[in-house]
Amino acid sequence: MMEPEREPRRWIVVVYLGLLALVIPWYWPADDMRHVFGLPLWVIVTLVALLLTSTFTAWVFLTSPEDDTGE
Amino acid sequence: MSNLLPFGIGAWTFIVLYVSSLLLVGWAGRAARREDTLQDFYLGGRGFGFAVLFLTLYATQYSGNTVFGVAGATYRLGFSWLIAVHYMLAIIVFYLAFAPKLYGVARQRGYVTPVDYLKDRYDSKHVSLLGSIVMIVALNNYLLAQLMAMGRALQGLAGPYGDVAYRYGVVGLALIMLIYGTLGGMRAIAWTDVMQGSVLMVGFLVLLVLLLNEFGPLAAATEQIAGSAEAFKVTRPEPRMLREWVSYIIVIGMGGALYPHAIQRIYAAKSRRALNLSLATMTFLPYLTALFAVIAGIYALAYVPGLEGAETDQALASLLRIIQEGSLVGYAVVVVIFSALLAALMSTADSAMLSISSMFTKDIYAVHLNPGADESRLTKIGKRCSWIVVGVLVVMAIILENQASLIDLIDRKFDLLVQLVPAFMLGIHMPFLRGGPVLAGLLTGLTIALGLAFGPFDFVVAGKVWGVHPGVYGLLANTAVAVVGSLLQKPDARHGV
Repeated sequence: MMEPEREPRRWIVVVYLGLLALVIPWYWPADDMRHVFGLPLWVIVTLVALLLTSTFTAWVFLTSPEDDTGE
Repeated sequence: MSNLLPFGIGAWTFIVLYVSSLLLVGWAGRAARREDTLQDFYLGGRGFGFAVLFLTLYATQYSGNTVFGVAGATYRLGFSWLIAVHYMLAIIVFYLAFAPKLYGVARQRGYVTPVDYLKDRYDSKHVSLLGSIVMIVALNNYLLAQLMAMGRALQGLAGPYGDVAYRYGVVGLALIMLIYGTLGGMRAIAWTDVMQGSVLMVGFLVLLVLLLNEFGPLAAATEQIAGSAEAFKVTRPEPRMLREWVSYIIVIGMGGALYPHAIQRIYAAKSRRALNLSLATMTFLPYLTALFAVIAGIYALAYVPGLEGAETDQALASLLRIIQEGSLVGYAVVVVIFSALLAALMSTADSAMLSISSMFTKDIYAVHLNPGADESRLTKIGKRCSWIVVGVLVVMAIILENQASLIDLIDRKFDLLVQLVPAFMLGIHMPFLRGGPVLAGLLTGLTIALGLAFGPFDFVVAGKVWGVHPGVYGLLANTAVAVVGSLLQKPDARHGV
């Protein structure tokens, strides 16, 4: 039976939690009607935060080890 | 697509040629077969480089639900349904939690199905069997939804003969999928995914250009909604919706990462570099697909008001009809988009079909029914299994015609799949997790998730408790039982198996 090994880079989880808090628009006032470029401001901020999440995720994948045998 | 104008002979010729070409690809997949083994049939010989792997992951992940369901949900909920962009991205983020590591282990140990990992990790027939059942049930649900959407896609194009077209659509497209899928296995399906993924990507890009051209900027559509009785659909989501947002990220993000057919694509990668590059690229695909579907839903909300209930899943089709009526170019482009929608449906359905077949054959038939069967025999059984499963689901799709909204169907499937998170995502990182507690956790989670989803409880509103999916409550209990139960086992038991 195989035994799993421990994975480093746990700080990544903290970054994701921060990005999650930024993407979900819980911090906007419920009656906020501000628009930027014709779109609700909260939509723009959420989309920017999503793009940051994508870019960070791509970076994590691309800086992961690439040998096919090790962990 | 029941709101589209019926297609003419030219459009049908294009679609028939496109769908027939999939059969040629299936035949080419068979010709490229290297050996008569499960690994070759179900994993394409583990030889997928970046281009094939990326496009097969893309075509498989983005289904008919992405196109029809997301546009429809946006029509009902407004910008709040940016949730869909987030959960499609979350799937890739959750791959980080286990995919690179699982790839290394799968390659070393020769896994073919996701359940091979469970067998190897927990050494428990019960965990493996329950894992197989959960995955097969969830995938059957998914495959059924795709088959019904295939029929519905053709239904609307046949004018007064819609019901007949629905049946012919389900049967005809399922038959084509079965032929190329059983001819060339994963290799054929991945190669057709390259075609289907490319058509899908072009289709989405064309869709955005068409929408902008026909209806003007998104800002104008937003202003239109803000000035209507639907103005609440552009404001920040209500607290209940914010809770749903988190819930969708957990249920679809984690559940989607555990799709058996997606896990098998991880196994099929040629190298870790190809896998990492494919997944890195996939992180940007939600903007090309889910976000475009959200934008389409916003345009529909602004310019095609008045759709209600299940009709809202026709929001995108209603927009396409306007474009179709506008000009000959618009008509031709809608044909291309329609082909892309068929591609999205078929590429997801064929992958689910192959995955069900592999799990039934390797994890159930070869373990419980005929342990002595050789690989050639198992491959034949797998092909027969595909025909039987799809045959039964085709009959169900015809019986259940127009029964449920697409989003309702996907919700329940993820409630099940997410219960496998401790076994896979935690199990690969926590050496102390043991089979007994993981099994108890899985049973607990499934009982809670299904009990809340289908029980007669007044506090379950729209399939959720306090805005949270039943699967999340199940997962919390499941994780607690698996982790605490493993920690409470005697050290000898924890390290001795």
